[in-house]
Amino acid sequence: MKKPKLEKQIRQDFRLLVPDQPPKVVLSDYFPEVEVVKKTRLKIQLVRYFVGAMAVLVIAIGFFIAKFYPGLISTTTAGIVTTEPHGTTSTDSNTQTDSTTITSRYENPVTSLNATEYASGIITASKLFLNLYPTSANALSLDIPVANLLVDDYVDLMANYLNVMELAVGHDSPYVTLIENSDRSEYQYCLVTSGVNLTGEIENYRLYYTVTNATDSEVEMIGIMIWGSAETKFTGKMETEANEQKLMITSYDESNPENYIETELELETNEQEYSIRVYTNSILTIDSMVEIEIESSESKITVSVMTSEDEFDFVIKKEIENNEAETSIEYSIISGLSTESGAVIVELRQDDESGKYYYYFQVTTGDIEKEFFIDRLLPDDVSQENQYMSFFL
Amino acid sequence: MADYRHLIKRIQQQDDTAFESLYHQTRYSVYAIIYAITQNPHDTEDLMQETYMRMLKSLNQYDGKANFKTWLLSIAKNLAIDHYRKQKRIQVVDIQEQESIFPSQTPNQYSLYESRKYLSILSIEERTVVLLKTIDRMKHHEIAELLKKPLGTIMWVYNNAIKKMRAYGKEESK
Repeated sequence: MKKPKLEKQIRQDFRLLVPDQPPKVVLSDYFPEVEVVKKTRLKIQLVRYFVGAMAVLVIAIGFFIAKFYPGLISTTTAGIVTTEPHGTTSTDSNTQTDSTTITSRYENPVTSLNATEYASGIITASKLFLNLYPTSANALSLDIPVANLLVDDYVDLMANYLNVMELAVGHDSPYVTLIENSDRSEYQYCLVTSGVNLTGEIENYRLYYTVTNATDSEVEMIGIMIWGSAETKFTGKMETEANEQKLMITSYDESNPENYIETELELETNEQEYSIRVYTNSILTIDSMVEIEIESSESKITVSVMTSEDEFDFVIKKEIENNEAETSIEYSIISGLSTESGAVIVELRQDDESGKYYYYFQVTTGDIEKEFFIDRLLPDDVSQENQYMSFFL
Repeated sequence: MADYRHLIKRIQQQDDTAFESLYHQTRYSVYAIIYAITQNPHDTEDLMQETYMRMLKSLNQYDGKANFKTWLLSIAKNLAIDHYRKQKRIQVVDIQEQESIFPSQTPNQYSLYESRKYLSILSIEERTVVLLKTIDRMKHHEIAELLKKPLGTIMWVYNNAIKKMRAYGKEESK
């Protein structure tokens, strides 16, 4: 009996044995009193940082739901329309109720606790997750008779992550966060975040929230996020230690709490890790993780996604040796009972006629080699310092 | 690993659906841990129920420092070991003897009999790792974190277990 078959057989057989329903219990016998959350003194600075991060993380979740699970949260609708331009000017305020504008820069995301740094990171993550599933690949000239490789369906997806990698390394991305008085009596505060997405569209979100607990190292809150006509409820918590920050959000549908999304962001020096887990009817349907490490000689983005049908891992690497940069992708894909792994050489090339840049992928799997030419989403701007394309320069 | 704080909070607020959610997210692991020790589906089912009731009883004492799933599985494991000891005998599960219980009438029953037979040749540790990996689709590093063992050990144990079962399968088919 071969290994995959044996594993599958055990899984199928034993899953049938596990009872579907939990034991019948009366929870009030175990928890006679509902715990009342104590309101503590607000630590204004920490809270302010937190809400900025919270806003964009919820945005990420919102995007995610709208893209992949339009029916998961009942009020979710896709599409964001706003007329407000984004700004980059910064004013400061000492009180929670005044307007406070924070300007986002993606330069050094971890060294200090700063909501806008979180914001950039989380927006980056949302882009990653937006591109979670493969579309169609753009295989063009093939020197070898077409072989039906699994990677064919994933090349566009790899390219999307590559876009994000470029963005993470080199792009200066402004997002504006504004804290206002709440116009909804059930929540203490209102936070408005606006920014520009990868394709240049302006996005705008409102977050109503109440802080339920705030100490020097922890902030907890509950609230709703509104984008367009959609509303999503959430609970969130941020923990801060010496060199680590962790932000967790659970976003859920109040009418059906079995549908929810857990999002986790962990920041350490030079490392960011995002996890998004989607539960549908309490069943984990997507478990995904993205880790970004940016160092002087090597930058790496690791993507790992597991669904009930597929599992794939990409490691996109940029290594610098003798002042020369080399970009590559290692991949592993499991789809049904098929497994494939291989390596991809990546180059940024310029079209002679149009002058536009595109990605060139050379995929090698076993004896098979394939070439792909894929459009790049980011603008071709090499003229300014710290702008797009620095990843390849 | 999943964050269960949201569910725990709701359970403490007497939300039944949260308890059901928690059960659905953890049941395969709990079953795997218990079955690895008892090797008896009926006992495993009983001990599963007891595990969740014990968990509810102790939930207010759970301080959140340890990973919740690790904590829950430690309850399951302790109950299974207690049960095992109470039997005051080594549970030798003779799958051959149980063949009449699974008389090959349907493919599923026969398949289950086969699966149990393969698992019965493994040690408790091997069985635990194999069941967590297969039933709950856990990754090696998650199992390592859960069982507090080095990743390399878990990978070695798993591969060794698979090899053992395959070798056993070849012997059987001769």
